[in-house]
Amino acid sequence: MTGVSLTDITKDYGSGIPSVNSLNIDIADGEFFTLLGPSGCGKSTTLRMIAGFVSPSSGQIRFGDRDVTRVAPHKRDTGMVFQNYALFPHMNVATNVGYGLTTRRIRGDEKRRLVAEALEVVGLSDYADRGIGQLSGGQQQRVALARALVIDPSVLLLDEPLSNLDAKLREETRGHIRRIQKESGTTSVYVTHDQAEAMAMSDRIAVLQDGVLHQVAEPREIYRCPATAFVARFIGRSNVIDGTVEDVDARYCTIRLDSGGVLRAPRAARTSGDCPTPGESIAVSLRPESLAIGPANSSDAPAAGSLRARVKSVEFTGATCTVTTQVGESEVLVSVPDSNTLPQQGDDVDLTPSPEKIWMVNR
Amino acid sequence: MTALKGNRTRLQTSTSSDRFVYVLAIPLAFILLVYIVVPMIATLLTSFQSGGDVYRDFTSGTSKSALILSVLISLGSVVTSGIVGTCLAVLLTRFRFPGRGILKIVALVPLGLPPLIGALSFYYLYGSSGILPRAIASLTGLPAQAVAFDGIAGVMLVHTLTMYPYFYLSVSAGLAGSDASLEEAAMNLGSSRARMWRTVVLPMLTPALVSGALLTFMVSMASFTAPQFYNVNTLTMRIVAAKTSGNYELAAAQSTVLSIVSILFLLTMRWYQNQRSTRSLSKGTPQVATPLTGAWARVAAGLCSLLIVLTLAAPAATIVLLAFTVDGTWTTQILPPQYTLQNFVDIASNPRSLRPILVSSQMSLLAMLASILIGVLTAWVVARWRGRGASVLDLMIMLPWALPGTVVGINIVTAFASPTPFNLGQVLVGSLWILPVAYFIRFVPLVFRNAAASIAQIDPSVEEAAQNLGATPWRTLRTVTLPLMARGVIAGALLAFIQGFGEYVASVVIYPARFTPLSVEIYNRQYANELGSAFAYGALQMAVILIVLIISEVVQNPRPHRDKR
Repeated sequence: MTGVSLTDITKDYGSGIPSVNSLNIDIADGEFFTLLGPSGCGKSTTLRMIAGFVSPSSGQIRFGDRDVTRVAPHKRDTGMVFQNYALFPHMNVATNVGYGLTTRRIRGDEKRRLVAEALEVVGLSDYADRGIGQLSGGQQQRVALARALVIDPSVLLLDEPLSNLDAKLREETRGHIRRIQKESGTTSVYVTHDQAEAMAMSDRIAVLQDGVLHQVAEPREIYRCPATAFVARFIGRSNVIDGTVEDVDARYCTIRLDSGGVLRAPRAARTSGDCPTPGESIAVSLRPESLAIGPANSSDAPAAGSLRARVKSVEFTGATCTVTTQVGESEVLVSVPDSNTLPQQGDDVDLTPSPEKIWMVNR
Repeated sequence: MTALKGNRTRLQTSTSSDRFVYVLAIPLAFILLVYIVVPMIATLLTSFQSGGDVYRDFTSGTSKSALILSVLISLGSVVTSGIVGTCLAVLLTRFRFPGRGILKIVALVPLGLPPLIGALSFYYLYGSSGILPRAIASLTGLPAQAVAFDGIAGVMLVHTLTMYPYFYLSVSAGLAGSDASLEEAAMNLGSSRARMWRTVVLPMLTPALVSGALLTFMVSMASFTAPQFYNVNTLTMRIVAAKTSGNYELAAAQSTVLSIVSILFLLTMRWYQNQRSTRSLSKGTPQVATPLTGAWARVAAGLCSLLIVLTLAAPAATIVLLAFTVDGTWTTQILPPQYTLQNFVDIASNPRSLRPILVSSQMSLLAMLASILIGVLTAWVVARWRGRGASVLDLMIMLPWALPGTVVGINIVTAFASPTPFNLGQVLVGSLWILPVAYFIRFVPLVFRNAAASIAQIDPSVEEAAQNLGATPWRTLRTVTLPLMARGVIAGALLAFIQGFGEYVASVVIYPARFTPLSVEIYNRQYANELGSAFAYGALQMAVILIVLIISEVVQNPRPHRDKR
């Protein structure tokens, strides 16, 4: 069992814009670590560099103390679950699962026992003799998982393994994968573009965009304390509004928003921990559920710490309603519990964020 | 040196599977160089032995008229086989009529005709001493010569009825793959059926027609057997004549010119296909064949399809019929007067008669094995090599596909006549080994193309999965890639085998005196007026082709859904 560390990893395919740019990540032993980002962010390239299918242009990859940067894929002892499962179509389920054992010179009874165990873990004991073409997508996915786990790899790599399943099966399977991973305690690197999946499964998440690492943190922290505007927008829903720091006192800093209005945020409400300086360009992240909405007071200006807005639309989404409002130039979403006293389209309202939930992010 | 420092300097880095590709590519490139490229260069050099004077023959001499004749015949063949193939394809994909099922099968019969005996059967069917002209002559009193296909007309007839499948297959595929909703849209927008065909269907068929035309032109230019029987002096005929008369320089010059024309066509074809490769095949509304209604229309269509079936099946039937004639008895009668089984008994019982079959089958088998080894590995390297080298290898191995068999023969004769460093000191002229080498060169592109098509269907991540599970690149190739390719490769290899088994055009240029290949023996027997024996060999050839095609079909589309391992 080993941790994985990527030191200063860059991959440039020669286009001049690196697919992965100076990436530094340390994954702890036994951790379930997720690389999250939109398509083209470099997450799959990073995973393929860990697997050895792609060589980094520069940097170092270590499994524990072992430098594997130049090691061939078949000598790395990783178990990978591919997006399309990559099962061997000319072999049956048991032969697929046993393939990695054969290459490790585990044969005979020992091999049969391990394959049977692995199939039992994924609930496919009765399917050992089936051909791959006779399995459903979900079953194929589990064969792929069993095949990667049976070799007891140092690192388990999962490349969007759930993306080809339907929504219901996806939720079931992610719980299943997480449970198996916890039982085996295998260090796992998981790639996905689905933030909900990442939040539900991971010990820690790394958010990437255009080959650049934005933040590495636990799911809760990523949600509450996004490091950048990109992270705030990508994880959950958020209103990210640009502004300028006007004043900083002992506890709060005052930010004048470009779209009009002034907000006060705790001066420590920033992932880097750096205290903002007056005049600094910054953005604030306001989660839709952290905003209180009320009728505009009669005066021209809203109370201190509130924003004056006009309701553009109200959308019923079940337990909550999403109110879309216009604050100056910016559109601000507010999520409120459904009630009979919701504002109507065209109403003037005041939005009041709870100060401890305002988070400052770099633009 | 730390790994970190060393790596910083490299932008493009290779993984271990890349290195494995290079390790394989080097010996493959070497083999292709020695057996394909160097012989071509040897021919070129031979043609310039006395400063290239022989090329003057192309401005004034017989070579000029031969080249012009070859080009004209090829253009004509493109037109006639284009019309026949396209009409058949439209008829069979778009209409339902009595006799459609049988016509669909018979339309492919020309592909199963052995090249030499096929051309020969046309000669005895439509030529001036053939069955049909004699029958018409006795019925109408006209001289048989007046209604016979002889000379250039004979060559054109053979070309049309053996080469239309190139159009038929590509146009059928194009029509079947096209989206019916496009045609419906055109009609919905108010265009008439004729206008719809002109403005929608024909433009969509352009790629199919162009590739059919290029292929037909190339095959026509390479044609040798039909001109030989009808004594038409095409360029291929002149090459063999020059070689036979000992004028190697002229033969080499003519081969070089023919090679250049053929390679230009190969390159045009690849360029055109690459241009079109982005064309998406939409999976819209499937095409439905229109049933013909009305009693008279159905009767007329039935009679027409019967006539077409008879025409297309006639050459094969002729081969079978003539296989049973007694040698030397058919003189001026319409049909041969005497029949016997003796021809087959003789082949089976007389070791001298059996020998050509053994020579051809064994040499063809050897060539097939070599083609599998080289073709499959090259296909893999080409598919996995992410560099420019891949297309160079691809071109090298596909070159012989464009080269006429006559030219391949001349190339081998010039390159392997005396030991040089370039042919690794091998002298093949006069040795038995020259036959498998020639068959290998001619038919390795077939295996390569089938293997490449099989690889294209394999998901690369399956190979990655194997490596991820600890398999070395070689083990991955052996346990995953090759088994997945097996079906396509076997089909290609069987095809290569039957082609080698009936090979005539290169064989006649190179065969060593004591080892007569089957097709050359057929020619010799026919020449010696032992018609029954010649056609008995031909009938056996057809039987072998039929069996191999059936095996190939079974291998490619096995009945049971999935075999257990």
